Amino acid sequence: MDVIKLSSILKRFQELVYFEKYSNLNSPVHQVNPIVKFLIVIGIIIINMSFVHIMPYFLLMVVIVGIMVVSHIPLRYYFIRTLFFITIFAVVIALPLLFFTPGQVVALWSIGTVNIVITLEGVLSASSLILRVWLSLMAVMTLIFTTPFANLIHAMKHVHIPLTFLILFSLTYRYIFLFIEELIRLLQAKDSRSFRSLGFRLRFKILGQLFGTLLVRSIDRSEQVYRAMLARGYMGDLVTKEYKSNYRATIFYAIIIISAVTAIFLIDLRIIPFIYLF
Amino acid sequence: MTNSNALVIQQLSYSYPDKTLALKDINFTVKTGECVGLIGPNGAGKSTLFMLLMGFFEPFQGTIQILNQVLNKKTKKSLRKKVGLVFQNPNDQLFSPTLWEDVAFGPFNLGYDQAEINSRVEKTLESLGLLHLKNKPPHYLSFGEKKKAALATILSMDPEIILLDEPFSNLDPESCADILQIIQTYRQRNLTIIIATHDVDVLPELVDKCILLDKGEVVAERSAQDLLTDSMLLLKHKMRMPIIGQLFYNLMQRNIIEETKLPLTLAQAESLVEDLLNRTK
Repeated sequence: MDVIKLSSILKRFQELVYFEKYSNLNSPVHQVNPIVKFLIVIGIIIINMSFVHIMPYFLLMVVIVGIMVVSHIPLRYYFIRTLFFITIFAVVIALPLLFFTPGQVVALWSIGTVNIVITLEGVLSASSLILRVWLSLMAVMTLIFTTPFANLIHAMKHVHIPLTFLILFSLTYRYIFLFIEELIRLLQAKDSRSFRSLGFRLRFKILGQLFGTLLVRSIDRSEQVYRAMLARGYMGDLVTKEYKSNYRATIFYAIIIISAVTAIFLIDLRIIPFIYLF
Repeated sequence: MTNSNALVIQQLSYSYPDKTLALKDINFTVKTGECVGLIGPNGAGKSTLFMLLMGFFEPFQGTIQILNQVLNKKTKKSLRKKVGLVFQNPNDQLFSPTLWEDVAFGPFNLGYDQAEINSRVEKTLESLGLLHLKNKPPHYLSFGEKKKAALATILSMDPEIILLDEPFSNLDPESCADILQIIQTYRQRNLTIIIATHDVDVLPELVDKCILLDKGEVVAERSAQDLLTDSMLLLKHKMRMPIIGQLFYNLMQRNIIEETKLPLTLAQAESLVEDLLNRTK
């Protein structure tokens, strides 16, 4: 793997996880109380996981995209991020389902004595899983794109998410950029002294050493950060800032989204009639 | 400055887990309201001493008395409410999602109510000229802003003693002047300040006395004027005089000007040059 290429991949990743550009806008959705937004997203994820039919997924997608449109978030920007993370998920988790789910064979390759088989059930369960996770991710992204990170932590604290998790979450977001920057600097320092092309094994050996150095630095930093927390009297609690939210926007948002999602849920249960394509 | 002692260190020794002796028989006293420069080359033990003063490391010998209380396992938490440490790297100090939360972290842990926290954060940020950045994530601040923000996280706790670890390192001249101004302002409020640095150029503007530390030992403890003009001693311990003092020292060595009290600050140098020019007229 080329070192310069790795730096640019890291820079790209850094851009992908940077949400502050849009989370501080002032659209009606941004003015909604983050606790309400957080609870609605949790509700959407739970309902999304319970769908039996395919059609409701698409209806829910329309609702989520609608929220993004009202929030003035560029849809291209939004979809690139959701697709980036879902691609990683699909390759790592869902792809094996294609090959390991027993059922009706739709494709078969023979490599020597080994048969690689894709089944219809595998395709259905993989696509269903990807769709569910993608929608959940989209719902979470609506929250992240429309809520400043500090307010999100505040909301999660108020719905009694465990403090340890919140502190970890908060520190991860704070230090991920610094971690990537440190890694990029290490790669650049290494690259500035690399004058000849290295063999595959040597490259990986050097990368291993770089990551080792990064690990040592990370441990060092974590100790210093913990000391900085203790120096200011840290006793396991987390300070969060009060925010001003728009009461009317919150009520309006809650009524519209809860009504729409409930309707989709009833459509899935076939209590409300709809044109079922799937 | 008063006659009471803010800090008394007696026969303090500390060694790292690998048994390397980091500090050996350290003895010194800092009076309440005094501003002290802890100078020494890299690896002299300045930061280690700060870690001991905060109770992060335990000495294997000696005692530390802070504000008439002996620092030990039982007292370290209560003493941390009175002693603020500003780390050398502001990225270690700023760990919250926004600057507001970072500055509020200390007052929150001190148990103040929300109104008091708000008031302290706003007041501190305003006094440091950082109020417009309160909702910014620390990651997107410039290095100079981060250094000031790190200072704000401590000042909002209203400590009685402030330990500053290399407060001027890696700063541009403007940020350096800003930090200097902030320290000078807080000095006037009778705060006890200890500045660990090897940057000796700014110290004469701030400190009453200097302590020279090298290889874990206190080599000298004198007034800033006395210690920072002792060229031979400073050179022996890989340090140097402030650049202004060095210039006049060199001129004296070459008999271009007659022996006089060496100026260490720009104001002192201006006054001396004016005096010399008046005499030659």
